[in-house]
Amino acid sequence: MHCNRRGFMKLSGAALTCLSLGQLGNALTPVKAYAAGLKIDGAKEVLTVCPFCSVSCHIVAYVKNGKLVSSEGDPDYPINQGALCAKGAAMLTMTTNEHRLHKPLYRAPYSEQWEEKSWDWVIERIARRVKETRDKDFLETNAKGHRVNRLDSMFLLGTSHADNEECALFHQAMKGLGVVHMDHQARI
Amino acid sequence: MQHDTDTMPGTGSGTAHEADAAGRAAGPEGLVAALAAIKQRRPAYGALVDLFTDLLREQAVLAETFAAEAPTPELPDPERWRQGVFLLADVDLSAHAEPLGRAFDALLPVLGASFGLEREMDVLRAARAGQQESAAKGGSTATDATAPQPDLPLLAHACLDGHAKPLEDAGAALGVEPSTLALAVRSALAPVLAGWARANGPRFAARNWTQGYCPFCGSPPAVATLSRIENPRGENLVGGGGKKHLHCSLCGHEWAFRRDACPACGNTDHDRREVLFAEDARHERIEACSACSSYLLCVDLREVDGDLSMEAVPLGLVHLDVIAREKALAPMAVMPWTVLDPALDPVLDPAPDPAPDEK
Repeated sequence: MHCNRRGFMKLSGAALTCLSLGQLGNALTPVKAYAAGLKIDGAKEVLTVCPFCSVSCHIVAYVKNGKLVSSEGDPDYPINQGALCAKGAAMLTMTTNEHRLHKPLYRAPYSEQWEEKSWDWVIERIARRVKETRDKDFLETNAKGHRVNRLDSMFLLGTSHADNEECALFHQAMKGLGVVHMDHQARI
Repeated sequence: MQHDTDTMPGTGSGTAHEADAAGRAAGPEGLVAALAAIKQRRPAYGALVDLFTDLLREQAVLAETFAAEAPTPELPDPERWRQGVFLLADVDLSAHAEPLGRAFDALLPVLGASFGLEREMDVLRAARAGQQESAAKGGSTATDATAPQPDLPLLAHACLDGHAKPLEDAGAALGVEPSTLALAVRSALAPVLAGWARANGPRFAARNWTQGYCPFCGSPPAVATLSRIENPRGENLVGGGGKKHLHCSLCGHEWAFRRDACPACGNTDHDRREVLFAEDARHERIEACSACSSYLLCVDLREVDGDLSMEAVPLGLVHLDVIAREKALAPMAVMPWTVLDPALDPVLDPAPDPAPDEK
């Protein structure tokens, strides 16, 4: 027994042509009319990785016109087997929530108001504060005179939205400044 | 997708929680109830369902009989299995003329009455009677008879292999259109293999099968399902299930298949695969592949109450076949009810199988 799809299709199709001219045509007419009245929607299924923690559950993302419209756990991935935690299950809202910030907000010292700022302004401000802090607190040696070259007054809290390469870059940048207190944040 | 607005009533009285993960209702009773549910849900299907009810019910009855007397073919070598050699690949059907003949004899009257093919089926019945008389007198099969007689194992092989010549020769000798003969042989082969697949399924269920065609008989799938939640999950987890299973178009065997690939060509490029659905029934999907221009219908069981008869499911989704054909897509398997308008229908000239290096 040897089965191939093309041959199988041709034969099974040919086997049924004797029906197409008979009752089948009449029976199909109302079904075709029903189909014509349906509104059809669609999406692409894209496999992706949940950005929220290091477990890296796989997600089936439904994408329409480049936008995420729905998601579910990937049942073929052996770790999550189709299930997701509350954060992963809420991935859609991460992209669509109306409360999500689109521009940096700044609250000046002692102010009660948030101000919208440009990215250039914010990055320059952060860089200036980092340099001021490092210049003030950088510790070259400890009380025993041992060289430590560290900065105890700064702390890096990462983000589980960062991928592996971004985390490596953050880590190297902070080590370059002498920062030794860092956390990836995934457990929060 | 888990935001469906329309759930499909099942065939039994059970709820989604009571049904098993596969959501299957086996047997003729489940089938008949499922067919009635299709008509109730979508009245446009009344005539179509009525047309096929007798054939499907008789096939379901026969399948139960053949399951009880199924042979146990040797399991393929694990390496050949891994390479895609299905279970019946090495089975010679000539040793199984008797069950094929029984199914053939039982279904000829049903086919004749259901589809207005009484004359053709009477011719085949007479040929079979002559064959049985010859066998009773000590002859073996068609080769011993003076009158033309259908060599059912040979014709069954021809149907499976996609070889038209034996059917054309036999049809000419018997005075029956080859397409009508092929319909009768295929209809008889289906319940025989369905019974065998049901009996043998547990023997190879644990063996991982990665192909898009049936591990038992090698035929393409008629429909796919996304499973319900199979394993208990922690209280902090949501979702689950969604495992894809393919349902064989000939023997009805079900096997797991990856979500991110086309079963026909193996394409995993998400830009060349698309899921289409009616807005009021998102759990019934057309899974289209533009790499091979084929489609497979799929039902998300997480959105369906009660058990399903998988033999009935494709018959209740013909409206999606119509929509897929209008998009110039070909079905992965041709079912009796999917012969549509020839102008829309690419069935008889399907896209060629992709070369191995394209998979």
